[in-house]
Amino acid sequence: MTSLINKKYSLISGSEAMALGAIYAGVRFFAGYPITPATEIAEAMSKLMPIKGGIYFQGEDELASINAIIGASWAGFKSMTATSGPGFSLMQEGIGYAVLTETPIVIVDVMRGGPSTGQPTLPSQQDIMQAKFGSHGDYEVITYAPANVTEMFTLTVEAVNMSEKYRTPVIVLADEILAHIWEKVFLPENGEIPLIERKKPKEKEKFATFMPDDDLIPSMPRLGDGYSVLVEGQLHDEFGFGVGSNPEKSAKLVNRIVNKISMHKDEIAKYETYYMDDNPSAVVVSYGSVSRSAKDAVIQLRKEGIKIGYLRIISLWPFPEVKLKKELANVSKVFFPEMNIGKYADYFRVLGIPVFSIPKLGGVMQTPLEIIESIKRVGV
Amino acid sequence: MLEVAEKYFRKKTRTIFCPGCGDGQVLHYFIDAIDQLKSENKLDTKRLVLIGGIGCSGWIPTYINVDVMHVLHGRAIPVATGIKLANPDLEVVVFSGDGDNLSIGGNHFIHAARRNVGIKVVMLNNMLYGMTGGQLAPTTPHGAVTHTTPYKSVDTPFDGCELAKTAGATYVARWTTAHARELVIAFREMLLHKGFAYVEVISQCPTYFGRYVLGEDNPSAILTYFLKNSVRVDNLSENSDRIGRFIIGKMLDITKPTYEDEVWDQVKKLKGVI
Amino acid sequence: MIQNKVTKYKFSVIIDQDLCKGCEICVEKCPFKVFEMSNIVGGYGVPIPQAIREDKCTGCNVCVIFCPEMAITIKKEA
Repeated sequence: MTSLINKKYSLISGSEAMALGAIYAGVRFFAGYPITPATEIAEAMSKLMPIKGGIYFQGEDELASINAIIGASWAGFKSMTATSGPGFSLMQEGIGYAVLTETPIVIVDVMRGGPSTGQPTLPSQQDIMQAKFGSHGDYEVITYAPANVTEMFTLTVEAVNMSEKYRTPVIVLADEILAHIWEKVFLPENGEIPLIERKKPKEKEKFATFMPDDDLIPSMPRLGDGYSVLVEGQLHDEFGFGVGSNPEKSAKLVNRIVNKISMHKDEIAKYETYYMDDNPSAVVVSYGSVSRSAKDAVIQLRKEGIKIGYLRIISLWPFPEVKLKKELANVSKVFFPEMNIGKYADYFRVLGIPVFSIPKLGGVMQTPLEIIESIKRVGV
Repeated sequence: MLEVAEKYFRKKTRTIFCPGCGDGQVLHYFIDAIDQLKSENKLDTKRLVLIGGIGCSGWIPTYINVDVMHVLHGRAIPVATGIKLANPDLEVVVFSGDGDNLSIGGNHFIHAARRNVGIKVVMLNNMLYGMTGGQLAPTTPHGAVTHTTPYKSVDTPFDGCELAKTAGATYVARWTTAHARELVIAFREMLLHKGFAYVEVISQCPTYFGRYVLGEDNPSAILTYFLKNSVRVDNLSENSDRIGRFIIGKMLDITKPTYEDEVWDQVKKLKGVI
Repeated sequence: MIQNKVTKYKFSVIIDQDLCKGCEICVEKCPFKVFEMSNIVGGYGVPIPQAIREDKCTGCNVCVIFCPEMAITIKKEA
């Protein structure tokens, strides 16, 4: 696997693609803990990090891992961790801390069957709401859902870039299928995908650790460079001093943290469409591995002469409401297959379009035929 | 304000500590230690990173004008580990309480000691949870009445120093706030030590430990109590009475390869190999 | 005589009224009983001590060392 670093294209698994993507993006600190089905990402990183001059740290638990990458990020390293459902639950406090202290980190959740210990070796899409609402308090995060091995590489790069740009934790929701599937991937050359670095502070005098610019994003100093930063987990002012007992200042901070991301909803939004040119009134919407079946279902239905479109959401959060409303302006029926009880379909109703959820539990993906049958039962 | 405090404080402010709290003393002695080492050219304060946990003791670093992180309850040590691994040149010191370090943070404590990560841990021990109002902690003496043990505690407490030693720490010491000069020396040795260093400070909490457990709310009297009831580890013998006494002194000072050194040695050997 | 040797220097004892929290450690620990609680209310809102027997100060610095607020400064005058 180490020989892949300089190859142009390869047959690799999703986990390896994710590791290679992280390294391409400049990640040089990975903290992990073995958990099925994300262990291969940790193993790949343990092999690749030292070769690239980076650190692999195996924490004593997921709590150590998430907190270690927060520390490493403040020490100047792009950092990442990978886990699955049970570990993702443990990391929520750390994610909340990274949100409030505006620490750029990437958290990968390779979703498996839940709840609790669940089905360690089977996929699901059950954690998508946890990515948005997992930690306590009000906040907004960016979340991506890859659907093939190439995206396991490219969306990891995008996640690292967005975490640096917006100074926020970014979550990548893969699942067991994507982690273990092998596909042919054309690895990009160095420089082909531009990399984004965190905003560096300009002057040291009167430096305020959390003073935002007009885009609501503060510049980020590095520990040890003499800025005397005060990184504070309590609600704070621009200098890091606590303002918890001041309602106006407290509200101001939380509003800024939320608006920092939601203000840029449209720039962050990512989705792809097929068969939408003739303005179909029915669309199959999906994300992640299920979209592979969904696309096949749409292709088959089109062959039968049924006018139906396909939309795959790539950035799950923040919810790209404006762009989706525009894209689906002429749509009166949405079919939404998911490997959970219909969570994102529920949320999708915010757009005001009738949504027919096609949920599936048990740890097996919907087949194209199952999706087609569900659609035909309702009628297009 | 004391000159050395003015030199190192972020801004002139009263601390949040209760009147007579030992945490204020520890803040003073730590600033003394770094000031001394700085003037002897043994420490560059630009490289100093202080991590505070949650609790009264976690506020100590926030007053000092160096790089400071005030992190989650019990997670100061993993954050410190991440920083130390990312940049071994930084001098990382954790300020934690007995609840923060031995209860919720206990797992991280023993693993950092096991690995001999080159971070320094100052644990302020008031034998209960102070910030939240005086509840039971893993260091509360057996039979003590606290806010969550109104019928006397049936818990047996930890000995933080024994735990650190067994786990693999390479510098272990315990002093009380009544031993001011020894504390400054201990902080100096701790900062110059290479490897995991653990300094436990028995610190008076007149508001809760004083009133509930000792039955004495006068800070000066509690300091005298510490002095009278502590025995140096070198003066201990097989038959010494240990019950109800604080065992103080430097208990361990050895050198072993540190975690960050071994990790980076590997990286240096492997970097660019392919 | 010890008295003459000890009081060769004069010391001024200054308590920062904003920082003092009235814990009385200095009052009780001073070997020469320099301090006494007064009716002056400091910035914290509690009565604070005063160095009423400043002439007895020998500059031993026990109060400076043990004050939890670092509120006491002692200056040696020729």
